[in-house]
Amino acid sequence: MSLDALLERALDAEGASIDPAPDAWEQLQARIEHEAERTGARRRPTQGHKDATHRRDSEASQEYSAVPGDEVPDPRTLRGPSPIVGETIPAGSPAGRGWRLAVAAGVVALAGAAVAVHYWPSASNDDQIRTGTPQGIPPVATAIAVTEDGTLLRLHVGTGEVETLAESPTDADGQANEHISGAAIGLDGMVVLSTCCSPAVGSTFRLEADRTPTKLADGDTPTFGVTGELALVAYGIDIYTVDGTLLRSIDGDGYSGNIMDLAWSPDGSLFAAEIVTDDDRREIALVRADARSMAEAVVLKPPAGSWWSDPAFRADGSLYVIEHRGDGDRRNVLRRVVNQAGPNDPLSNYTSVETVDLGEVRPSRLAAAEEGEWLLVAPTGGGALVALDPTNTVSSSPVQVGEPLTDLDW
Amino acid sequence: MADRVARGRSDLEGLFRQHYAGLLRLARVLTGDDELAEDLAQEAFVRLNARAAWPQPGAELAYLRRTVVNLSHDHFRRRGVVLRHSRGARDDLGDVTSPAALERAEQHRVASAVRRLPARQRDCVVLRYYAGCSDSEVAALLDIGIGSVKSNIARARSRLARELRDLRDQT
Repeated sequence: MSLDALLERALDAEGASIDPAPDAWEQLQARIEHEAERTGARRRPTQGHKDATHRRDSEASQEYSAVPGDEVPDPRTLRGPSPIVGETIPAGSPAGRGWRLAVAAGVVALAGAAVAVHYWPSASNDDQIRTGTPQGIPPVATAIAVTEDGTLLRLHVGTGEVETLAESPTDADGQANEHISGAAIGLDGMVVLSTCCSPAVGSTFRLEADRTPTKLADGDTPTFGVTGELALVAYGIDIYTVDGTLLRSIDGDGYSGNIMDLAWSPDGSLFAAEIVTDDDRREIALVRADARSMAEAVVLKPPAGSWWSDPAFRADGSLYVIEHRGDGDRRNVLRRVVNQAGPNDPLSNYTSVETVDLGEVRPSRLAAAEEGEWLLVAPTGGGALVALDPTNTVSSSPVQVGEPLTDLDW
Repeated sequence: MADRVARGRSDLEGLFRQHYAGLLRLARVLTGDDELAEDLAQEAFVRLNARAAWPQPGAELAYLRRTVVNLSHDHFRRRGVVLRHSRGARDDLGDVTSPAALERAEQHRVASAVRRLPARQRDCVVLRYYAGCSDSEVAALLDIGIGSVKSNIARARSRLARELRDLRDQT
């Protein structure tokens, strides 16, 4: 039997193994009504939300007072229509909006095959990007990325060269049940990778010079801090030395298993965690790096109908996230969130000040360079990696993304 | 306002009657779990209902399918259901001595192999071979290029062909 016929028959049988419950419509109505009740009142909090809510309620309400422009909703009102109406900055498509001739270089697909020579178009009169001098090639030479099929790659941002550093291990049957799903670069260029995460937490390995992995610790989603410490997600957030010695932990407390991505602020004081809620929405939890529990986190809410992923800090402490709007990744933009209260009160009064619309470049992965000066953006559905300088002017890389990425760091 | 709510409810019920069973089965194929499939299919309608602006008439099914696919990713990623469900499928086969049970066991094995594919490959295979979508429909649903659809399916087929070689040789 042909493979096609085998697949069709098996999947048809699999689908036919279930029929709708007789009361499925009534179940849906009840669920919608329940949803309406929840959005009409305060959201039923998880433990972490509950604790954060309690803590916030005991503090001065002006910390969440409205400010001009759009704002991050009060974490105490966790659902419902959002007041966020961001200022949109159309940074333009790569074809006609201000990308400078950065370099003529071989375009290398992430799969590793050389494809074509690509020339970056010069600016046109249609430029709508915000002001600022284009910087050309980003100043950081290399980044690393993990593809969805579990391959860790080093990307030479300036030249387009792509190296395969590691592939997901397979068992005797050729199965890769522990996929490489995350990676990070340390201050000295050390590369760590993590596998994720069946049946529980993943594991993190240091990639040695000969590219053999040495296990450092349980936990995945590695993130390096400004002092070289390594944060991993397990049941909460664990902070290790680079040789795998546990220094301290932030207890998951309601967020166990729900932290999807992590960013460490350039001053080392704060984590931003992408969290998946009980109802499968993505939000950002901010917690002090010296906290003992995620119950101390403050949750930043995306506008209704959207969700946030891939937190990344800039050097000025502002937080960038990818805002996924509606269906698929069709209208993703970057959202910039700023702490209006300043560094002495890093958890209060976060206000979303603007969005950065990259035009045809729909961001799917976001990472901040060391020191947070530059942001690197991987596009959805293929295309060139782009970089944003400190003024959010789009720059370019000859590295082409040929398949979805699960992680990006530089 | 009441009219708008009533009309929305009526439209939703029509879409539900038309598409729920198909979405439920799509979710079942993607996840291998009955309860989870019901949850994902229902959630897709909850999200459609919550939208301020519905998709254009005729585009609702694509929206609902995309939502089910995206929701399935969340469940796969961190909660480690891949191993549990693929193992569970093998455990639930019962007597595999009869021809019918043997065929059922083989189909489970194929479906489990599909579910162990990387997410994007799994999506493409299920949408193509189960939902009967064309390459361009899969590309639009997943918001990727047609070339990416083709390469994902080619890689998935290559992997599945190796893994299921004995089944193909038998038949």
